[in-house]
Amino acid sequence: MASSARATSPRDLLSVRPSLDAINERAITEGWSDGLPIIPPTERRVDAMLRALGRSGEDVVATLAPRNGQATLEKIAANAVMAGCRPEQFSIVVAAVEALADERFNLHAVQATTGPAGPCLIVNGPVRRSARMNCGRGCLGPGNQANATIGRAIRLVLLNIGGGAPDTVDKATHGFPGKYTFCFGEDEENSPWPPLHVDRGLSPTDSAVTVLAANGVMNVVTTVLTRPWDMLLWVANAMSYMGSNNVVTAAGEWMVVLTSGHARLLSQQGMSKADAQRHIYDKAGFPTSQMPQMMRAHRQSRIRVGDMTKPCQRPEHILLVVAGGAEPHHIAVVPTWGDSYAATRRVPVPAYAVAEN
Amino acid sequence: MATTLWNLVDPTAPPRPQKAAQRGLAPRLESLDGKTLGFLSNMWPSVRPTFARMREVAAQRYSLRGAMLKERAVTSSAAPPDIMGPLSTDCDAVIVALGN
Repeated sequence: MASSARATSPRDLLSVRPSLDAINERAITEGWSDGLPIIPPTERRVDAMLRALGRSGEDVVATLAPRNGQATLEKIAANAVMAGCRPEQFSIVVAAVEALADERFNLHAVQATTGPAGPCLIVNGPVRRSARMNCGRGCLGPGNQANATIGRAIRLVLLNIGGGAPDTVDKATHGFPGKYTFCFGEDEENSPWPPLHVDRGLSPTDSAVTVLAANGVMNVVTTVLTRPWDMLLWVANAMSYMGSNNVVTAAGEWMVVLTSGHARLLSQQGMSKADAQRHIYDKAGFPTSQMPQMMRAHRQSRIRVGDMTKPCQRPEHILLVVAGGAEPHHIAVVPTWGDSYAATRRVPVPAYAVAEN
Repeated sequence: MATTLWNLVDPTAPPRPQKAAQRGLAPRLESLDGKTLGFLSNMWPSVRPTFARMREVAAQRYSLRGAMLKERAVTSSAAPPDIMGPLSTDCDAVIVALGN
């Protein structure tokens, strides 16, 4: 049956036996799965994604390194279906693909590095709610369909369009579990501060997705502290290890995921987000004299201040995001890959939402 | 009874045709005599002595017009125009350091 979301070119189709087991076996054998079971990308399911966006499947969103595969909406939709995404979540996936192709994100290197780099997606604005994302308790963990499958769709896109096949192209020494999926929404409603996408120049009413080349997550437990600024001191301490990619490359950003409880405590002390960034930056680092001899040290001057080495070049390179359970008990600190900077794209209002209005 | 097959949308994308591949390779040089040889270093410690030795050997074998060494601090992305510019306009051949 011809699709309303399709133009004239023939579609790339694979004929398969109508068995979930056979399809999954083929996906694993041919390398288009991440190792987990997939939902078969039937034409009906792919068309449902495209209809939700209201655009042609042939539209090219980006060219993804290192394969330089053309990310058409149809190819992205097939991967989103396989990941288990719902049509109302597809616009977030598409915007994230656009962001991944931003030159500053340096996708070619992120895909091929021996480091444990993988995109973390932070979603802002009204689309978080229509996509039913978890911005609160356990938002970095399992249990929410949107968080799990939007992040997974990006991994499948990077594999099947970008060509980041493990071992042959993706040379990660260990990788990290966030390379399966790493996606959450900001808890904007409970934060006293402007959300991330506003920091990055968009309007509070916009929906947006930001991609960051994460290198894992460190926990800072703050339950035993009594003064809010000491919580930031411990964040600074967590960021001050010599072997981080950010220190070694003297580049990139960090993300600090505070709870709304932390943000409120800091705000009640009169601290703005910029104040908190500055406080962390000022407290972070280690004496340069402690740094052992290292190769390729020519860039280190960019993060040296006096006799200290800082974990990043500027306070603004510490991205503060509010998410998680409300209690000010734990802070997630996310180092990044270094030679990569976050990229943000507006998420357009999906066609179905326009129709509903 | 014949089994009806399902059609799935192929999730994989072929590489976009590269401009360089469409243009083809530049003509190969028959000799480095009278040519300017460029070296693009990735600044790993082993590269400088390796390049120095390569330059020595090239100078022994050919009558080079000159040589140019450029060093790039960031090796995970394309070399910036201030490095690529002189290499592409002033050199006849360039040796690029990869790996470490």
